Amino acid sequence: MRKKIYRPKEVRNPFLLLSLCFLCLFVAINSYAEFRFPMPEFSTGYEHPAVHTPMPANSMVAWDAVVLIVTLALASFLVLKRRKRREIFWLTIFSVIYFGFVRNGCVCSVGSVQNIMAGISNSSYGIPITVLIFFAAPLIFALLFGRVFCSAVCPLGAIQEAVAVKPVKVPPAVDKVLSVFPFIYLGLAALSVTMDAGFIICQYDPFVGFFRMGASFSMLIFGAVMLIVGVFVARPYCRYLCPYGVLLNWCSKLSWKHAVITPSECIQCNLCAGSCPYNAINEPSADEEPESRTRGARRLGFLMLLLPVLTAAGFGVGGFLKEPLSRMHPTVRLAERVAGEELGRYETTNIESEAFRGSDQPIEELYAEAVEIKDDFQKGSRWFGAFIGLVIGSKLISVSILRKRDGYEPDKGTCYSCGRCFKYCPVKATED
Amino acid sequence: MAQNFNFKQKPMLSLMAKSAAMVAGLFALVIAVLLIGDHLRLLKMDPLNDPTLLELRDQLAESNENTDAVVEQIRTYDLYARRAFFSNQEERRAGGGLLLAGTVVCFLALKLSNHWNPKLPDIGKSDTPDHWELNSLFRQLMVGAGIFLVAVSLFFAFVVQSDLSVVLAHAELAEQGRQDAVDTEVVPQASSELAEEMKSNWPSLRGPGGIGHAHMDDAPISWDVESGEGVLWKAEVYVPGFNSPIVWDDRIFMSGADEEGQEVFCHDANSGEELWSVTIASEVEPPEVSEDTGYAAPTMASDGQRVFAIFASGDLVALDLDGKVIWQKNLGVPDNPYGMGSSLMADAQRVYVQYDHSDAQKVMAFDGASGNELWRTAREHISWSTPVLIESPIGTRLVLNDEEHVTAYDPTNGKSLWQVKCLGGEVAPSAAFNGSNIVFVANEYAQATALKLNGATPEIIWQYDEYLPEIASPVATEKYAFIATTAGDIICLDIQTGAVKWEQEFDEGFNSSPILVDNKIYAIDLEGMVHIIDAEAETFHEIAVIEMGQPVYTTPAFVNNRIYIRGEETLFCIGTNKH
Repeated sequence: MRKKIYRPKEVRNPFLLLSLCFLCLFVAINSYAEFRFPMPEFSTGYEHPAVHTPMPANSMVAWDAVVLIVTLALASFLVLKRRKRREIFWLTIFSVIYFGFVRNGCVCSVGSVQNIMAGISNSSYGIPITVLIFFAAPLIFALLFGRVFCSAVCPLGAIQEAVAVKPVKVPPAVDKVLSVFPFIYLGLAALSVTMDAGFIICQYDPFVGFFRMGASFSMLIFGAVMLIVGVFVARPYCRYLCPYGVLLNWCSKLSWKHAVITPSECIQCNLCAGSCPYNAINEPSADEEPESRTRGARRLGFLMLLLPVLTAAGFGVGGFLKEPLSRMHPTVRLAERVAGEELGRYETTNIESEAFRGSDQPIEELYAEAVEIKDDFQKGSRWFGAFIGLVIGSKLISVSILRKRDGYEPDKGTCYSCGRCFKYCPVKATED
Repeated sequence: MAQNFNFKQKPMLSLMAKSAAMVAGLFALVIAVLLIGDHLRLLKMDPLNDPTLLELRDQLAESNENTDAVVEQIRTYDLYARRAFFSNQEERRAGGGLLLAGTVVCFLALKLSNHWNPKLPDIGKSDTPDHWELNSLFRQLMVGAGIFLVAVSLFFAFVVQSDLSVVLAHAELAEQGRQDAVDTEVVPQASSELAEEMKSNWPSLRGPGGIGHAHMDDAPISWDVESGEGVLWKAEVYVPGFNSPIVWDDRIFMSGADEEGQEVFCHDANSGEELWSVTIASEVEPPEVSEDTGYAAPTMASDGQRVFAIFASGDLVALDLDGKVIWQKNLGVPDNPYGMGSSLMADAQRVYVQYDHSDAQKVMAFDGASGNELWRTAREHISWSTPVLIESPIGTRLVLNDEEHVTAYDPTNGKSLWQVKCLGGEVAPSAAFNGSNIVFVANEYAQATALKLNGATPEIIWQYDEYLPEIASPVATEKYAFIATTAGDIICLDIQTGAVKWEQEFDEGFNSSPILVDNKIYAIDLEGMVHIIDAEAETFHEIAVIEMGQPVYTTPAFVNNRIYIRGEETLFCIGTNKH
């Protein structure tokens, strides 16, 4: 029997070259990951040995939790006390090497959100203590010292920080609008977990393919795009996608001691204003009020009334998303594939449908299961839509509240405590 | 001043770092290009289908002796191929490492370059809008983003369609149809009675439902045309036509036509006497047809009260059993390279016409009593096949073949219920049905396919592509599927697995479709030799071979333990007077 093989100006501006390198990198790594050689064919007599899956190596996981906490503490110290960008950067390099390339990007605080959601939605799901630590420790540190996890500990942030060699500023208003997307991703992740459709944050982790030197084609494309964009737009994943960043943002807003630009009193020299590529420095408020109080209060009242309307609208629109969102679930995808094959939409079966057809499960049972899951998605999609409506409404309200600021301050929610701004402040720290 | 406030420029160091970055970047680029080139080269390679290896395998397959040397050669070749593959994998892994190292050095050098050439702080306030203006702009953009999100959501909701919903709707429709049949009291009873009557008659090509199953238990297995032993009567057939006889009660109906005219005629089943003959007038010019098809290839059909005939001209006519024309219409002159070949099919209410011609392909149902068109459904491909009506576990289905597909329709409304792409070539054979849950189709230049009626759409359980029919339709039993080819072969396949049980070559080919009669297959070749074969045996077992004395192109009718065979010139009744 024959078998088919399964297919398997430069010195002045080297950034273009860099981008090209990354493009080549993902294609080359992908080619390595994709190519497979079929198993030998044995016509008679040979018994294939049983496949053994090795037990996961748990010994390092506890050690990872210790390294995480120590790194968080060190990052807090460097950000709040040492205030040296260079030292923070070297800790970033350590994190990308250790949590990324050595530990292959797992366990990861960003992905741990899903374990927690799974634990909440499914009482039979046990959350490992290490995962709990990876989830909680960065949030606790954020409550204490701001987003020190993002500054130098998160391997996903670290690899982006490492490639951000020519960051440009995204217009602040656009930046704020794009900040809705992490909420959308968080909502989708929550929907996927509660519907038992899988951990999409892990499935679409853009950098884990690089850390592991091999991944699916789509993941490598995603990662390469993120890194190429990250050369010019610093930390695109952290700013516009990271769902864990939403939680860190909330915690950091309430932080006990957050990094500051000026170590004592801001003299409003404006030197730091252009130093932050994340638009995370808030300017001092103008002396004059930008508009009459009555007008501002009226707008605020209108937006507060709009909040439930937007939530309800999101609930309604979400109802239309049942079909596309239910495709996140593998059973629904399989049922749709099989149904498509039954209707003659595909010329051949794919590996999943072939496996299904080789199984004993009746096709009607698969369809019934998929229909039930879709019904659940109908409800879930509505709540997802309502959540997005609520987020948009809340953001509109939050920018409509006038806050008084006497000097240049980091935005506690969006500041990654990267330390770029420290050296732009000419004010010397006062002696305690 | 703070000690941090240090923007000392070191241009030489910065330039060196940039140069290093460029070198490292170029190095990484070269490695990447090499890796991509290697990958593209590997994509073209097909080591296990290498011509040398395939040749060796063929040698192994063909040789019966001294295979050890060939086996050893294959093993060696295979080993080399694997060794080359895994060496290449190692090289690629090393290349990936070098690429990563080059990229890391490139970025580190760029970082150092930035460090030695730091960005100086902006002096003076930037001209960007102030905080409050930005928030105002944000609110406007947010509204736009909200509208965009709604639009994207609606777009996806519209674009992502569910095949599952379509399949379930079909299944529901089928269920509804079945339920309707159960709920209605009068029609089913009548239908049920008629179905039983249909079984005791021969209302269409290949019998009731057109599936090639005869319902009689004492079919003749020996007769002699020359001596007349076992031949009840013979009657001359004067009008040319390749259509097969149909039988209702004591009457046999056939049609005939040539360029001059069209005719329907009826013989007495007991005596062979021609009872009546009716000329069917036509208002259209007869089309060009091939000699092998003629002007009256389609077999007639009957619903028990009427008989229906169609001709190459597209004239469709209904007559009562006494030969009175009840209605007549022309469906449009078929534009067809061979001529009209599809026979008619009828049930209690409707007569079905498969009209797959070059200009437009369609299937239509007409009210048997009035001739009113009840429904028509567009089709996609030409064919010369005949509809069959199968009683499947999920309801009655009208099953049609064409150049690409086998398609099932709801006979009540013409809705397409399922379609499977498994045919090819110019299709004349119709579908076979094993009586329970397997539809079997086959055609030359395509393959034979067994479709299990599993849920809303059948599942292909096996395919076979060696001996295939051009004209004769296959027949299926609970155990086997039989194919009779134009080249003169009969093949028996296991209906569940497709395994070849036996193959038998005959001197002449088969245009006449084989019929299953009382666990025997009756197949008549072009020279008029009737082959009676045991349909239960695991190996070929011919019960009898009987010569009819003239060519036979048509499919016989089996009713009341008699066989009616239309030869080239004669209509034979094989059997006894016992009724």
